[in-house]
Amino acid sequence: MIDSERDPSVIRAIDELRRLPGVDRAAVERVVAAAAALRVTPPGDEPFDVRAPRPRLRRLAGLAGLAAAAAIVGFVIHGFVPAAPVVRTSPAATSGPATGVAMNVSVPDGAALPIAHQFVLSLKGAKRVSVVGDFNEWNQVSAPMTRSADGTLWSATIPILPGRHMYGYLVDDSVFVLDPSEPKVRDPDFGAEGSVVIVGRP
Amino acid sequence: MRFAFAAVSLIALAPVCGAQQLSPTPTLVCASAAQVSRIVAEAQSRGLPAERIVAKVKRGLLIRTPSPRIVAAAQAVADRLEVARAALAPSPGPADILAGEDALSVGVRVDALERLRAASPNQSIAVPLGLLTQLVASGESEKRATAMVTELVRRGATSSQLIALGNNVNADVGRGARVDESFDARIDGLTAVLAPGATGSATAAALPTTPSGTGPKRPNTP
Repeated sequence: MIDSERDPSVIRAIDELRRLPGVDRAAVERVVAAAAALRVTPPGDEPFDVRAPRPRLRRLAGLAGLAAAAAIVGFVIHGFVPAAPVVRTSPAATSGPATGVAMNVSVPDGAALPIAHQFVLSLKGAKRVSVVGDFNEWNQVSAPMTRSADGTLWSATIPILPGRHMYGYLVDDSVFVLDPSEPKVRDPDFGAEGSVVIVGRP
Repeated sequence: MRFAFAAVSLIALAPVCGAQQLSPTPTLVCASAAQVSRIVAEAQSRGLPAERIVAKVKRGLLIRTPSPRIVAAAQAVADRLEVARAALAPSPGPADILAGEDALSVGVRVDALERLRAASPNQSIAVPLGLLTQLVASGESEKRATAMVTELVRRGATSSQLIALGNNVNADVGRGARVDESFDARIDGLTAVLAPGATGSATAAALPTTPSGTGPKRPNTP
């Protein structure tokens, strides 16, 4: 037994895991296959020299094993559901012009699943800012942005389907602001302007 | 699930008919709300991604567009969704249908969607369609943009490469360049890194030999 496994809380966790009912083997195999596909092998034939005494690695391996087991149980019990981004609004101060940038922060592969896309707006003096666009049906409450500690940057990360999207920012629930870092286009049906971004996987 | 969400979202669009309107949030007049509800319901029954219609209606409300115009826009979106799905057959996903609708809204023709689908029959073409749409919306010739983007897809350009191309063109246009000139310059950089055979001349060979619209001035290299 490695050191970490003597920890009472770890022992309790192991006991809990052992008491759980049988898992879905197909689900476990999918998780294991995915983990195997993602495993990074260092240069050389041997991923790790298991004979060499590496207590720190072993401790980490033990913890990783526990984490993987917990993840498998979690997947089986709850299913894999992507978590919605947690965004909060914060009070702001002062005033200034708006500048911003939209960055694609997504990496995973897939067909047409939503991609986490980060919107960042530099704006002083606002109390609330939210992202509104065709991806959230221009809903002014579904994607509030979080203000940075220094009060100058607002950001929100939203799952968006791949493709081109029109959007903007709603400041203090009343003022519609375009993203100064992205091109603006005219809505062909209404004639109003909006910012536009193309989102896709690498 | 998505359709249910669209339906629930639509409830917010409808006023309490017969009651006094006290909410500062703009809503559709009753007759228009009923029309929009019917349009959304029909789209849902046909299996179309009706959330795009709801989004269009909410966009109209956000900018305080008159109700009749919102209804017309909702119907136009529903029609384009249907056309896009047919053009992107046999089994386009929601992202492709939405991208196709967007493309049609800026004047991309149905046969352009069909050509792009033919170039990549088994993968999502939401990003290529997005690039094509953005190029056309920026003033590039639809015919030329379609030929170029289709050729890039055929030659295996990745989503990130296409997005980078679009971003570069957008940046150039933002600095005052003409969209066709920027497209010409930027596409050379992309074709240079594509798979063997994806040379600038090969891409150019896929283009119309005569200028059309605002765009083509690219020499027809041998």
